[in-house]
Amino acid sequence: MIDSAFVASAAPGSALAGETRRERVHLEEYSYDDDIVRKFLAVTIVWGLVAFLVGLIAALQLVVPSVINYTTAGGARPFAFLTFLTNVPFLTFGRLRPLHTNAAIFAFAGNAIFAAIYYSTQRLCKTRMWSDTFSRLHFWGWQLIIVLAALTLPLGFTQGKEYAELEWPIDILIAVVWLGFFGTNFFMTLKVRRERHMYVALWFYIATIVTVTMLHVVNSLAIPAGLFKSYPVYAGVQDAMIQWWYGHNAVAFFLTTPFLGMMYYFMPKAAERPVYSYRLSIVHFWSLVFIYIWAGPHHLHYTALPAWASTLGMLFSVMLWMPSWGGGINGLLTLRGAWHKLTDDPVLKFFVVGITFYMMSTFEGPMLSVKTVNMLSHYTDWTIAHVHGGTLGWNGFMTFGMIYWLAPRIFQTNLYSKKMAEWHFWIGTLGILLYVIPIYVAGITQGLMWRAFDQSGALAFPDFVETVAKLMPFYWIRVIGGLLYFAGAVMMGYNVLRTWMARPAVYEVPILKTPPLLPAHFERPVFTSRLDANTEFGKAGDVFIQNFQNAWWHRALEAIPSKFILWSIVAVAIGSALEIIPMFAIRSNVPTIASVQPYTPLELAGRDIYLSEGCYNCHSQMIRPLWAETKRYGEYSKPGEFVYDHPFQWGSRRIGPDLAREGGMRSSLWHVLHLEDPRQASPQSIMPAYPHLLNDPLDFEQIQTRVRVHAMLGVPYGEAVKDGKAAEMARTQAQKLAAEIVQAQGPTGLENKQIIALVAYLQRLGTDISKPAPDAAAPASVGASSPSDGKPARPDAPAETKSN
Amino acid sequence: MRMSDVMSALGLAAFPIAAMALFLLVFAGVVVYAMRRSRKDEFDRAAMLPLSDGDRCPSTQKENGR
Ligand code: HEC
Repeated sequence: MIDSAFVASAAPGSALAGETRRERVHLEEYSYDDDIVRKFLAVTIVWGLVAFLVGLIAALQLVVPSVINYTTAGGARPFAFLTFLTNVPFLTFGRLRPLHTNAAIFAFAGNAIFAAIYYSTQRLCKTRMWSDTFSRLHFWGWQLIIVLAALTLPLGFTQGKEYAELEWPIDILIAVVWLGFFGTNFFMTLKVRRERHMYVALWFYIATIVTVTMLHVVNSLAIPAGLFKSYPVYAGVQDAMIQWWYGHNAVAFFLTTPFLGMMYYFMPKAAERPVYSYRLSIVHFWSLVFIYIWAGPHHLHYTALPAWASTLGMLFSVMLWMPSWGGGINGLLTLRGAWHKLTDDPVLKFFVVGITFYMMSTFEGPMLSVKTVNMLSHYTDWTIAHVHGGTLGWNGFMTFGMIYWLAPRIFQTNLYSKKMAEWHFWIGTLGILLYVIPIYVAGITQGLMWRAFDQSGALAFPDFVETVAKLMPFYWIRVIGGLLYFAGAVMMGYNVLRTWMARPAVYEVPILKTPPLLPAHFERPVFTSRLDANTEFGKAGDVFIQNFQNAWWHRALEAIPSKFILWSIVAVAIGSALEIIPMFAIRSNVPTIASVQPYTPLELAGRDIYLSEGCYNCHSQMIRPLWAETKRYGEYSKPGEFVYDHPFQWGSRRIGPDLAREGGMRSSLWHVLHLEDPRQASPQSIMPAYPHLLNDPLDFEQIQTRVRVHAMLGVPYGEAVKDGKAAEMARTQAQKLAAEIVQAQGPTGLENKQIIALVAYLQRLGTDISKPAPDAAAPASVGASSPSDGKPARPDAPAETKSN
Repeated sequence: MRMSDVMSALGLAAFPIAAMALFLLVFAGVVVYAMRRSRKDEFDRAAMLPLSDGDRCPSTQKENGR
């Protein structure tokens, strides 16, 4: 096991004596665990295909409604068979879109990251992973999480926050697998490493593991109300702040830093030369860690979030541009003097285009976070185009490049077909362009249509659905783009499969030998002042300056990973805390509005249906204080209106109109017919149909638990928490509303169906601020609202009152 | 008096601004550190790390493939 060798080293001062000392150094033998890399690589491809396919279906869902009814051939509707894409409950867009995003981010990108980390960390640390068992637990645990996600999301079990939809039991599992198995294994591997210097890729991995743990735990804090139902502890503005602090940093620390680690490792490997500038990579790392953590609020410009927070978000986002480009250029210039390799190496092609997309996205991101640009882009497809440039271009192509580089090495044979990989590259690139360009155009078109006024000062396109119908041609091109990208990935799957089939009967596992790392022999240098005539203070200052110039502290930091980890934690934690704490602490950030009351038990049940159907994937509930918006939707949204919203439902994309002031806008019967099949009410609509809501019974008994959990979270439910009271109140309100619908010639027997709760909720939305404030002396009670009495009592919004 | 009253009275509004200044300073420090000439050799060596997978022994082990 132990080999030994003589290593000559000059003993201190030995030059004078003219002698060298011979030391016996033990070489330790070890081998790398590539089996785990093979495993992660295989599932990356499988889940990637699933994620792309689900995305393709979701893209189709947005166009099929426009052809089902309008394409006729001799009286028949040839596309009628596609109706299932718009009305099967578990397939509707609202449930499928979270499945797509979760699969793309956590299954495809996640497994790709793990493959990269397991391959490179062992080699950079010159050691095997600390524990093979932990590696396997990590692998199988993560796959279990993915399977659970794929089962629960289509069933409508969701926390209703974008990219954090998974319910609490799965959240706990994620924390255990991520930190318990993956994190422990990784950090212990660092601890037993045989290479003193931690290469910059490892720094990026450390930041990833630490930060994702923090983001996940803080954002997922929730109180369960059943095995697959929970409510976040935050509400309204604060929930929004936490959610986008999480959401943006998921982009930063799940889709950026680990992929940068991948770039800094695999790009030099593929180019066979070191990274262009190592010092640039250090600046790249620290600036991302320090700046990214603040950028989240740029997702909330002009919303009810306090302006200081979103301005800060904008500022930090703009600052991100430079280091990101520095890093991108650093990656590209790694190819200096070897650009010719690009012509016949598909791996390098993927990397170069991937990094180019990184640079495009990191230019566009800061641009979109400038408030004036955001005013146009927010809620439109521009965001979707931006995201897909980043994920398809950067994450996708870096992963594909890595897979083509790894496959022949870990399967110990030649790649089945290099030509096919070349084809994948070109088809994939074309696919991205066909996706991204039309969706940009769609976004800008719709953004401009929303804010267009005619000569008389009225909205040029007052009917929202007009601005949707306009997008159909672009959406069709997107389907083609997505199809090409998917086809490319299928080719890769086939290529890797054939490569795997040609693997040798037994894999060679090279044995390596490296001396162990001796305990850090780092000595802190002692300085004395170089000044002779000065005060003690001046001398102390000089010593301090020498200390700083020598920078021994940073070398000490690098040698000891635990300290390094500690400092990255401190950096992200301080950044986050200083941003988030004032949001919670300063009362005036959320002025309360006396007339805003908690939802009734029935409305709360309706809200849960709204969440589980994923309506927030298409509808916002946040009217910005812009003329075009207040004109279209009504009074702009106030922070105080959301104090009982666990979770907030502001949304990020308006595929349908904003619903913040939907209450009282339409009759209840209209809502019933519209939900049963939106085309009945709005022929050009692309909204899914929800006929099952008219049939499925509402579980009244369950409402009690949900009300109680809300009461625990501080929502003043008063009487309603008493046993049986919530259900009773809900039944009463349901009967009243159902009777109204019958009176309006609508369907009968809806009083115990799910739809009644959803309609009650929709009719409540945004109506509170126009109600008179309840008598201050009266005990807090839940005001039942029905659309008939929900008409604005006071046309102007009441002044916000600050409690004192 | 509630916790949030105490928090409100702390005057935390200046926190984010102060933190921003702090972060900018740290960032400047990192740039200065990374750009120092004296570190060139160390960085050159570090940059080569991905290109060496470790020294191999002549012997190898087997792992089941097919
Ligand atoms: C695929 C995206 C999509 C999903 C998912 C979706 N909607 Fe819609 N929704 C639309 C579009 C587009 C319109 C505009 C056309 C129309 O009126 O149908 C719309 C319109 C509406 C309107 C009419 C607003 C008005 O007064 O004009 C309501 C209410 C509504 N949706 C509620 C819901 C609810 C509740 C859900 C979840 C059960 C939901 N939507 C899910 C896309 C969607």
